[in-house]
Order: sequence, then C-alpha cells, then structure tokens
Amino acid sequence: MLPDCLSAEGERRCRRLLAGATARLRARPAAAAVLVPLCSVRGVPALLYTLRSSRLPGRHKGDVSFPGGKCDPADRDVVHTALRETREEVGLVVPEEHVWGVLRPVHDQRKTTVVPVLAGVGPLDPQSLRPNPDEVDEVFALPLAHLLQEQNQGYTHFCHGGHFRYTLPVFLHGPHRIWGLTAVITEFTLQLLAPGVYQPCLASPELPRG
Amino acid sequence: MAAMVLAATGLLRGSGSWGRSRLRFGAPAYRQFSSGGAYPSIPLSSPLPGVPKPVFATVDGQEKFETRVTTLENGLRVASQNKFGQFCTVGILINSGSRYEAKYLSGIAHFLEKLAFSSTDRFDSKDEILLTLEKHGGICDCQTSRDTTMYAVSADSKGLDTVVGLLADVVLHPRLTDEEIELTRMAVRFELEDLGMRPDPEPLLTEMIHEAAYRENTVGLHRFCPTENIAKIDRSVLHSYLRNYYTPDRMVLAGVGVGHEQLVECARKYLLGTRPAWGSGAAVHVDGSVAQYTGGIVKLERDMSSVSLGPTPFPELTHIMIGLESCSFLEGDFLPFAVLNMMMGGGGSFSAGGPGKGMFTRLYLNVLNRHHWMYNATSYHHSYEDTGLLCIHASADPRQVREMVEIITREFVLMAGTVDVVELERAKTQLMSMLMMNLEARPVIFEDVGRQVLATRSRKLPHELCALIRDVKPEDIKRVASAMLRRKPAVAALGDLSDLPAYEHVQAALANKDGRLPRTYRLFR
Repeated sequence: MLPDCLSAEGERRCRRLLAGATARLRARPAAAAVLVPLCSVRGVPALLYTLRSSRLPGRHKGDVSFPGGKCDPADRDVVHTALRETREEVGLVVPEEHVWGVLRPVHDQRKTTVVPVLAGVGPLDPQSLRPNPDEVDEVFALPLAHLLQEQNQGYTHFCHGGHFRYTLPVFLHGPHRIWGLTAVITEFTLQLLAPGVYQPCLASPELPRG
Repeated sequence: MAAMVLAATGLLRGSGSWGRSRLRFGAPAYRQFSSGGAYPSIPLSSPLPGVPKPVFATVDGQEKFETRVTTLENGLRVASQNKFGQFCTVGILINSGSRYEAKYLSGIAHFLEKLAFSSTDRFDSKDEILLTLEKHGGICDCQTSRDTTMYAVSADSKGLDTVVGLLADVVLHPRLTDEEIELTRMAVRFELEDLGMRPDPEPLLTEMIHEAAYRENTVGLHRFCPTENIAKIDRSVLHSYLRNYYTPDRMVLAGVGVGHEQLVECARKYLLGTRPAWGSGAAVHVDGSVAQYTGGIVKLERDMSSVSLGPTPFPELTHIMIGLESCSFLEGDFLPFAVLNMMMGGGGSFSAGGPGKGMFTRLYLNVLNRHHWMYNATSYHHSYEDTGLLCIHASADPRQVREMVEIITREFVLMAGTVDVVELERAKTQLMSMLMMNLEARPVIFEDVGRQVLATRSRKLPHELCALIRDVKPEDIKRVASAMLRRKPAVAALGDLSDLPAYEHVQAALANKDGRLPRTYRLFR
C-alpha cells in the first residue's frame, strides 16, 4: 500500500522526520547539492529525474541524475544551491517554503559530499518544462509506484582490490536506468516516504566509499 | 572355391608340384585373388544380401524438429532438439561464471574449468572417464565464460544413458582431490604465463576492456584467476561456491540428436533427487547483481618490441580497444547491434581476403584499405543477459597511436550517420549466412539450445531469427548507434602508451560530430 505522501499529513510527517538533519546540515559547507523533486504527475506521486547532456565534460556526462550541481560561494546554504541549479538546468522555480528537508548526504568516489534536498513541488507536467540544452538532454518522471515494484529494483555488488566492498541499488525498466549516487538518493527517499514497503539493499547505514 | 584353394597350395609347395598341378587341373582359365567373385550374379539394380539397410535423411528445407523443453520438479530444465545422425551431443549448462564471484575469491570459475571431468564418486580418474566414453566413440569438454559454464559430451546416440550418468557425476559429485587441485594450479599458472607471452593479445584485451567498461562489478571481474589467488583456492572454497551456484534451478540439460522422452527419463534417473558432493544445504547468498556499465580506461604499459616466439621478427605494436555499451541479448535491439557489428566487420590487414571474409565491411574499406600502417581493426560484440559491449580493436606502430585513436573514434561517430542500403543488405545477408552455416554443426546447435533455454526457457529457431534480421532497417541502426554514442566509452590500451590521448579527449572525440580528437598544442614534444 503506497502511503499518501502527497497529502498534508504526509508532508508534515516528512518535515518532522527531516527536521533534525536539516538543522544540522543546512548551513554546513558541502561540495554539491541536488534537489529531489517530489511531484504529482497526473495525480500520481513521482520523482523528477534529468538526463545530463552528453556534451558536458566530466565524469557524469550522459548519466541520469537529480537536478543540482556544485555549490557556489555566493549561495547561502545547500538548499539555495539546489534550488538555484534546478532553476538553471530545468527551468523549474521552486519556492523555499516547498522544501521539506535535507536527506542524508552521500559521497562519491572522490570523497566529495553531495547533499540531497527534498522538496514537494506539487502538480507538474514534465513535458511543459524547458530544460537548458547545454546541461540537460531530457527530463522525465518516474512514479513512486514503479520504483516500489520489486521487479524494477535491483542491486549490484562492487569489489575493490579483489574483495567485495559495497552494494549499490539500481532501478530498472524506466526510460533510463537509474544507478550510482542517484539510485542511493532515490533509496533514501523511498525509505522516508514508504518505510514499511521499501526494502533497502544498502543493509548498513554506512555510506558507500569508493 | 575348394578347387582354387587346392590349386594355390599346390603352387606353394614348390616347383616340383608346379608342373604336376598344371597338368592335373588342366590349363588355368583365370586366377581370382579378390573375394568379389562370390557375388557375380546380383545385378546393380537390386540390394546386396546381408548388408544392413541404410537410413537416409529427407531433404525438407527447414528444421522440422522443434526444441522441446521440460522442467523437472527440482527446477532443472531439460531441452532437446532432434537431429538426424548417428551421434548426439549432450551437456549441462549452468548459470555460473566469473560474474558471480564478487563475494568469493576471484578465479573459482577458472579452476572449475580446469578441474572438469576429473575423478568423481563413480570414476576413479580422468582416464577412466575417457575410457568409458571411448566405448561410445565419445569426447568431452568443459568451457566457462563470464556467465555460463558448459560441460558437454559428444557420443554415439546409443550411449545416452551412460553419457547422462557421466555428466551428472562430473557436475554433482566431483572428488576434487588435493592432487588434482595441485595439478590445476600448475595448469592455471601455465595459462597465465601463456597469456602474457603470446603475440596475439586478444584474450588479454578482452579482459581489460571488460574491466574498463564494468569497473569492479559482475562481468568486469577477472575471468582468469589472478596470481595471488592461485594458492588460496582449495576444496572448501570451491565447495562453498558450488553449494550456491550449482543448483538445479540454474542448470539446463541440453541434448541434440536425442529423443526428448529418453533424455527426460535419463535426467530423472541421474539428476533428480540426488545429493551433490558438497552436501544438500539450501543456497544462500546467490548474487543477483545487475551488471553496471561504468566506462573508464585500463592501461597496461608493456614492452612489445620482442613478442615473437620464433626467429621471424614481429613488429612492435600498440593495441587499443574502444568500447561502448550496447544492449543485452534479451532486448529487441540486440539484432540491430549484431547487424551493426557485422557491418563494421574488419580483421587483420594481412588477411588473404576472399568471399565471405568481410572485405567490404567498413573497417576494411574505410580503415585498413586507406591507412596501410594499421595492422588490425576488428569489431567485436559481447552480449550478456543484462548488458552488452560493442568494441573495436585496433593496432599500429606506437608512434601512430594518436592517429589510430582518431580513426577509430571517427568510425564510431559514423555509425550513427547514414547507412547505405547495399551495405546494410550485405551485412544482413552475411549475418544470416553465418548463422545458418554455424548451426549446421551439432555442437553449435547444442550450445545455442542450451544458452537460449538457460536465458529464456524457450528457443528461437534459426528461420525465426533470419526473419527478424531481415526486418532490420537503416533507421534501427541509426537509432541504436545514436543511443550508444551518448554513453561513456571504455578504453583498453596495451603496449607503448606514450602517445595515447587522455580518456577525456577520447570522450570528447566521440561527442564531436566528426570524431576528431581535441587539438593539443605542445611546445616540447
């Protein structure tokens, strides 16, 4: 049973659960921040993803990710970074009151911290968004119901130096495969929004280290 | 007849009787030394008596027999394809390989391959197994790849029962004695040494490109045992792996040239309800990882100036392989990728050529025919159940590595360009003819049946595949090539790498519309 996370009661619950982490991490400097946009597409709760442009230089070209980017010194805090990047990349303006809180930060292979910020953006039509073609090739939404189905969930064991090190989740059968840090952040979000329903594959709360 | 024997012995007794026998039997009319004289009166239009009646195959045009699949109660699948002939090929395919070794010591699959058909509970040694097979004119072999392990026996059809019993014993009840494991360690060391020594670097490059493309997960794990693990693998390690992966639901017993009911009966007799050598505990920790394409670069600097194993010198070459993610063999886009791979084709520059060798494929026409300093440009397509890799291998003199990389990236970018109709038809015809020609051989049919049933529980017959290949259009090629080019490349390089462009430059070249590397200006070379 998918709890009604778009309702006012659901929002209050999430805000309450995230309040402690938000207060602690909001002002702490980090390398990058992303926005996890919880929207409602045709009445169905969904998460919004972007497909990064293959013309971008760098390690993450062509990958699926949440809108976001590096923290600028001019930004007030990580929430501001996430909202600014979302506006620049996707053309979606999210007012600060719609931010529900800050999720657990994740680290990528180079130990840079990425802070996910969860916001409820309300009803949205992904087709109406005009993404910036230099940074984003495509914007798509995946319903929570799709992400919570077991046949769409997978995992991958990673090794290093000949030994097993960590496991990362992967979400399949959407328009694009969701893996890496984006899948980890999706897992945190699903654990928060549907606690009984989603079985996390990251068994320990330890963060994956590259 | 008796008269002739007497005459012959008369001759042998010596010159004395010579004259006498001549007079005794009159003038010799004709002497017959061949035995054909016993049937002088049967005409050629009637069959010879005493000769077994021959059985002929009927030429029908299509494979009349369907592949039949039965699943037993313990999850084991039995698949058979009947085929005319005196011999059959039967084997067991298992979903086990180096891709499942994440939580185990790397190299277990390699050891199992070398240990196959050694002593078991019923057969005391490898020689006994070979002697048993010899009675039925049989041979046996084991092959492991990244995701499948295959034990196969080809023998006379009358020996089916013995063969299935032998296979069951070899797979489920191997003894894995210390002596055999020690011999296997030596064999593995020899194989690793050979890999490093041979002038043809293809297996090594395949390892490296998988490692680069699937960094440290599933199919990117080492297929050959790394040197440090050779001494660590022993019986208990092997048992802990076998307990989890040699389970009936991961196995297929496939047979070609056998009747389905007989094969199922043999399977029930030998493979149902039997307790394997490592105990019958339930399988836990079965790795269901999804292969994750990461892209990346793996470099191996090596002095290739004296790789020749004989007196003839071999030129010093640098080898590179550039790969991009394609798709799994279960997806609909698999056949367009196969046609694309055939269209790229390629091979060595010293090929004798000829019809069917791919002399009109793109890598020959655009690369090897135009740039005579390239030694090799070949396209490969590896495909697994959840991912695939299309790569091009090229080799040239170390001083021309940069140009070589640019030529290959240009070829990749042109894959997404216009596809000539004639070129596409040629590639499709070549793919279909290769498919049909290879599927005339019984061992290939066996592997096809086994792999398809292992992955999908049913089998697409060759004529169905040919119909699907004929349906591939230029738009399909363009679509799959464009989707492929969006992803990060995987690069493997071997040899003298001083001129190799950086990974980011290769990435930029593949995103460039001409496939050109970014210009770098260096003041001091």
